[in-house]
Amino acid sequence: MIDFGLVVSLLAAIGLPTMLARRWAPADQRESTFLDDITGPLVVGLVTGRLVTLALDDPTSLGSVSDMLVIRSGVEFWPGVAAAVLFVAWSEHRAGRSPVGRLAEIAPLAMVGYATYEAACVFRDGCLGPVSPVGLRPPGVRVAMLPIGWAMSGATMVGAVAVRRLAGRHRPLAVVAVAACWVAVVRSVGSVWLPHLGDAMTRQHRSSIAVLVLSGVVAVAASRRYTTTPPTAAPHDGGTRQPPT
Amino acid sequence: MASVPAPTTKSGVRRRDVAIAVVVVLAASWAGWTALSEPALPDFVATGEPLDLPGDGEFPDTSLSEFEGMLVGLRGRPVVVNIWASWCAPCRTEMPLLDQAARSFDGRAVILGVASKDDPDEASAFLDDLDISYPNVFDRTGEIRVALGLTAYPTTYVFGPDGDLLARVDGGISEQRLAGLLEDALR
Repeated sequence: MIDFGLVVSLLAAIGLPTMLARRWAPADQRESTFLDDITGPLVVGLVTGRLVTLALDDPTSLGSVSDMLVIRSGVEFWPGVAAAVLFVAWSEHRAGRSPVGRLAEIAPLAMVGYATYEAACVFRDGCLGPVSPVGLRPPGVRVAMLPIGWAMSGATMVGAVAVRRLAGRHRPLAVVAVAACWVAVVRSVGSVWLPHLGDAMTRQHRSSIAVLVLSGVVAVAASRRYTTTPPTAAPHDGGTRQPPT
Repeated sequence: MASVPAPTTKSGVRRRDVAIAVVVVLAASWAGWTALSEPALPDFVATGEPLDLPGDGEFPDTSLSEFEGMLVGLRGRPVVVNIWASWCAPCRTEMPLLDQAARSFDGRAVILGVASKDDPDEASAFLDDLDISYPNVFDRTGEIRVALGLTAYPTTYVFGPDGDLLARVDGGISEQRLAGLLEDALR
């Protein structure tokens, strides 16, 4: 059974940042487009996230391709992100460019993609959240709920703009860490409001808090500002420059 | 003499972008409408004498009237009926979630599994493998799935405390959706 909601969400999550990339990176001298650059990491991230989910939830399905496709248990977010990041880093390193620089360029657009995916919750399970007089009524539910997915989307969009502004002023590693930290905060807080079974924290909640702590430490450690004049080129024009030491 | 390609004008690029945007919006609208369409609820209301649920470790063959009696006996609490089969891969992932829901909502809501279109021995072994604790019955004749208008495996039905069918989820159900539906049924 094709999950049309998931397909629509993914198309939107890829399409919007791809269109935005043309506006945000007009001086990009690279031959490849944003879509070219993210296709590999996206596939690697999705496959890794899916395999991790199945390994945790249903290891017996790992040997069957059809089972892996039809089981609706989602994609483990942070392992998928980690795999995509490693793929980008490896690709850039192989091409002789700065892996972290390229990750810092991609980070705001990736955040836009994630924000779009969350906004498309209306096409998936319905936008669930706490009961509210103002909100949407998810399928099968008799009351309106505040769509937490939309709130998460808005917060991530704001973060994407903020992270893009940081790009020219801070070390690329700090930019990447702040981006991860921001998304981890959004997912951690969002998890509190999303319906879940039992009183314990969900796996999404726990993993987001772990990433929040880790990326927060990295962001603080790497947040030394440039002490010399920043490069004259646009802040988002490629990942070849090295931050001053 | 080699032909010179026509220069790409700004208006040409804009027209192409608009055309792409229109196609994408139309495709997304169609897919979104499909995704948002709620599956129709069957016209099903349980009637008859109330019956008890099967006890621990029991996995009885159950007729439609017996199944309805179980639902009648559960009036006053929301009931989640999950139709599954041992050959259904999404069921394997979903049933531990339902087991978790049965423990989380113990006493406030009931989960009832119905194995259908399956071999009873394989279905029983499936329950043992997954260590499922909530009650399950076996729909040997298939009349339960027909009465509930089943079109996909698994399918989950949520009945309110008064016995009204509130929701139907075709295919695997997520934790968020299950929790949201149960909390709503308890209001």
